[in-house]
Amino acid sequence: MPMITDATHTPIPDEEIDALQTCALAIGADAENSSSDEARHRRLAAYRLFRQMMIAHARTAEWRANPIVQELLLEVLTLEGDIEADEDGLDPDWRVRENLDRISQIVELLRRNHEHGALDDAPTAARFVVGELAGARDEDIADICGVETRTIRNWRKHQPGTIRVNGDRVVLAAQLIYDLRGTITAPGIARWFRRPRHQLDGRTPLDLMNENIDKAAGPLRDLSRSARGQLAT
Amino acid sequence: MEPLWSAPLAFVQPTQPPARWNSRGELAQYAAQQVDAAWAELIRQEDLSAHDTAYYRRSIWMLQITEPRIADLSTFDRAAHCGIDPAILVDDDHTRCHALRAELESAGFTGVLAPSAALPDATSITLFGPRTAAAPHERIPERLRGVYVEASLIAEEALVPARLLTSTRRHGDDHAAFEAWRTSVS
Repeated sequence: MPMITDATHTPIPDEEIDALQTCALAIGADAENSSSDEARHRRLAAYRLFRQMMIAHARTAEWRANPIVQELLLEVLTLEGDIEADEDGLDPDWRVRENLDRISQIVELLRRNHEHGALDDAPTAARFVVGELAGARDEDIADICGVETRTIRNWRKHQPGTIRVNGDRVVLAAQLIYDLRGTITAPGIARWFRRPRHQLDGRTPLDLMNENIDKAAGPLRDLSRSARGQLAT
Repeated sequence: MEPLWSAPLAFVQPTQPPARWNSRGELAQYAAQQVDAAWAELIRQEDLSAHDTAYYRRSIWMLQITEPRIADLSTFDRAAHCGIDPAILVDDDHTRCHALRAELESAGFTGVLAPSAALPDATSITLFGPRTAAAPHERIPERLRGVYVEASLIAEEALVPARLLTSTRRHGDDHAAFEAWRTSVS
């Protein structure tokens, strides 16, 4: 669930992150009807594959420059020691399991950072907004993005290449929608922007965006993440 | 979506928004002893009307919690008995709960049971800090109590129960159970 600051974003392809996560999961997968010795060998084989993949990635500039990847490499080294120490392959104290879960969380962090960082690019953000809000009215999306309704119609017809007006606002809208989309439907998201909220002293998210997009970002990010996560009011 | 907030890297600031038991940069896992209380928290946070509920979808997870030390402030009487002003547990302002968390953590507590601010007569349970989900019925080693929590997904894309719209306590409203308790002790 945590997300990281934009400063640590480097462009790593989605499929490489997916492959890494799949490979990490394979190390921890239970093998039914196998002896402890077989389980240990299977785990070591899966680990070696994972390590090879990490080493290959570490040779590329995009991965090497990313501080999260550097942490991941350290975790991989620790994992090797834990797997070797687990002689019967049963991992009774969950040393391997704990390390694997941590690796999984770091890879997930990498993925979220990657997805979120991609939305810093205004044309990408615009494509994301019209894609996620496919079920919402053009007028509502135009209000959210601070553009003309005809611009939204154009974005729907032709993938936007450049954003001439309110690029920062489009980026913020995309980031908020990224957090809202898992729990609120597209028409509901459009409504979310128009509803007065006590957290905003009775104003709407659109009010804040219309006043000052930079000042709106912090409170609106909190509000959108609250809609998605656990709550305690 | 993972049900629990984790923090695998110290240099990455958690993005969990501040709430009753966590200030910015801190993590807390929020749950309730009654499913209705979890829904009521959503209704109160999002200030949902009957019209809004059609747009919200939520996954519901059941947690099996075995923690080293949970502070039991589940009733206003218990809180008062511990020298804590019970009003802070349901106050719209969370500042004093943040301070109480710091005290509880320094005393070795890893979580707290408290009255639900959103649904009078229900109970919330909050775990301080990150946790990782374990599958149901896994045997979590003793050393990892307070690190792992058993979690089962029991509903996906569930709709907000409309019957709770009237019983949920909204921001700015009195807390009926707290008011009843205060009357009983005055």
